[in-house]
Amino acid sequence: MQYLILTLAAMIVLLPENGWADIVVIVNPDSSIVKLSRRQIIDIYMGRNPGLESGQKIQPLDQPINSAVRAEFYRKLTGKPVSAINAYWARLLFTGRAFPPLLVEDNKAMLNTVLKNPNTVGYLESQYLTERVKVVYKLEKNE
Amino acid sequence: MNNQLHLHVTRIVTLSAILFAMIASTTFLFYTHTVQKNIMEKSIEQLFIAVESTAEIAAYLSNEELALEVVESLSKNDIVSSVVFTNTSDLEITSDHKISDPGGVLFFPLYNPFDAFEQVGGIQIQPNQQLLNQYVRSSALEQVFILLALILVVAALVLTLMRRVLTTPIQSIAANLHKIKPGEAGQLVCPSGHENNEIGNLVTDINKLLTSVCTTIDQERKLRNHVENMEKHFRLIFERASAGIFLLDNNFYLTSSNRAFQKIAGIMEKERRENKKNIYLPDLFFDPNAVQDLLRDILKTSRQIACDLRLGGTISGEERWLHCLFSTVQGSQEETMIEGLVIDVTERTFQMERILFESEHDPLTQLFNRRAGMQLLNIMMTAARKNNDLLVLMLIDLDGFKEVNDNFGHDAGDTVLVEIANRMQATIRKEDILIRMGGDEFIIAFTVKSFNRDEIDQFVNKLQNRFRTEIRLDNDQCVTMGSSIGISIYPSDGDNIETLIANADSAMYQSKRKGKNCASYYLAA
Repeated sequence: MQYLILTLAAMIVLLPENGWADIVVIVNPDSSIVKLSRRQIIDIYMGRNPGLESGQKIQPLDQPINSAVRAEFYRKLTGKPVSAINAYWARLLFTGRAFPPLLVEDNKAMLNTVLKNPNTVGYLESQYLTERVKVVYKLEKNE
Repeated sequence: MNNQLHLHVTRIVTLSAILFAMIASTTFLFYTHTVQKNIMEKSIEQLFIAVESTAEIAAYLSNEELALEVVESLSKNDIVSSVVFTNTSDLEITSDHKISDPGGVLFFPLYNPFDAFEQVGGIQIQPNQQLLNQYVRSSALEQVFILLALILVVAALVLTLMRRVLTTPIQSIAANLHKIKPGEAGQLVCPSGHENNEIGNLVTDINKLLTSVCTTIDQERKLRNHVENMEKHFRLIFERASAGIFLLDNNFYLTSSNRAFQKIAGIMEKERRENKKNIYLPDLFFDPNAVQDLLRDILKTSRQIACDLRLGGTISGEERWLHCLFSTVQGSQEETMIEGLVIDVTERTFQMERILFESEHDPLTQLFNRRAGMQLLNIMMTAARKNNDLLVLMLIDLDGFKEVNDNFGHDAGDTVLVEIANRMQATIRKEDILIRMGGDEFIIAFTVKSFNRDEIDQFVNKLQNRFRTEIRLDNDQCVTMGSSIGISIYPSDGDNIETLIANADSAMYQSKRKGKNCASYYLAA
């Protein structure tokens, strides 16, 4: 029994922090976008025109298909499991008119891609955040 | 018997069932329509649910291809006639078949797949009305057919059952009842299987009634026979009675009478029949007024009266006398009638008269005998006393009668007496009294207003002259008779008959002493 309690305590302490961190939505520093609403972020990531004032076209960037951060992102954003999001895109794919977000390799690649392209929107775990990018929305850890 | 019960009931049941079926079918038509419409709408809703998420995505993204796919997949169903897809970005996809009638169109809103509160579009689906109608019609027809079949079966069943359970037994009962004549002993037989139901009760009750009717009619018949017999007897008594029987109304007209009365009263049958009402009873009698008064008296006093009355007519010259018994009876209409019973007593009356005559008269001379003579003299004296008249009494004794008797025999004496009596009878007046006192002694009495000796002498002379005429006897011999007469007069010679006779007797002896064949007045000593 004591062993069980100790094991649980150790697990809590030793668990990797990334699953539990905040996720931030970022844009290029040169982007005109200052702030995005959750709705706008959903529209952007789900392939719908977010109806921004500038009217510019925005390219969303996605973390790897099976990454924990991606699952966490969509869960926190839409309240749906990542499998539902995958099915959503699978359904749309054959129409030929819809394009899912571009995939990047990891948080670092995400950061770099956003930094290189001013019309992109990405997301990453807050510990990978640098001051070179603009945070336009923050998905809280406990959300 | 055209309108047989089972046909009648079957007709009613069938017509009612058809009416009910029509109402039920109409109601069912509406009901089926509603039900089928609901089913169709439910199906459409389920169809929509199947494509809902795709449609939502199409609306969310304004994805035409996806929307088209949704519309097509919906319109492929035969229950859907047309589909319109719209979204907030003015995308509109319509099926080949346009919505014609806005009524009955179902609208399903489409929401943002990621925000259940944001409506991003909608789908209008029009159900296939024709198909619905077809469903409803066929369903209703099916129902009607089932109902009709049911009605036919029920009607046939009712017909058969009614016939077997009700009509046939009732017909058999009615036929049997028809055969039974009133008053004949006959009983109905209950159709088998119905002993314990209403038909059985009916048969039992009818049988009771039949029995009681039979008994009543039988009693009635016996009573009638009895009454008829009695009537016959009474009629016989009435018709054949030797006594005459009749009934009078209160005006004394004959209302009915028997043959005996008609015969006695001398009413011809024919006459009676022709003028039945017009025979007035008092007219039949010798003294109609007296009879009328008598009848009035009976009517007034209700007394029963028996009397002898003389009939009006005579038969072969003879007087006819009836002994009548009258009494009142109450007629049928509160009127008092008189019934009468009469016996022809003509024979009897004559017999009675003869007896009376014989008791009062001397059988030989037919003159009053001493006893009756005394009564008559007393009556005459009473009348004379009352009227202040004189009564002349003559005592007559024949002279030499004893010699006739002795010489010629008693028969000759009798002949002389009869002849003398006849001569005296011829001499006196009708109201005078002539008595044979006994032997050869007679009395003549009469009343006069005043004493007149000449008249009396004249009478005596006449009498004695007649005596002096020869009397022829049977043996052709002749005799002449003298007479000694004594006369006494009331009131001077006595105020009673006995005294007068005694005094006349002494006067008569005086005449005998004088030398016979003369008359002497009594002279008081």
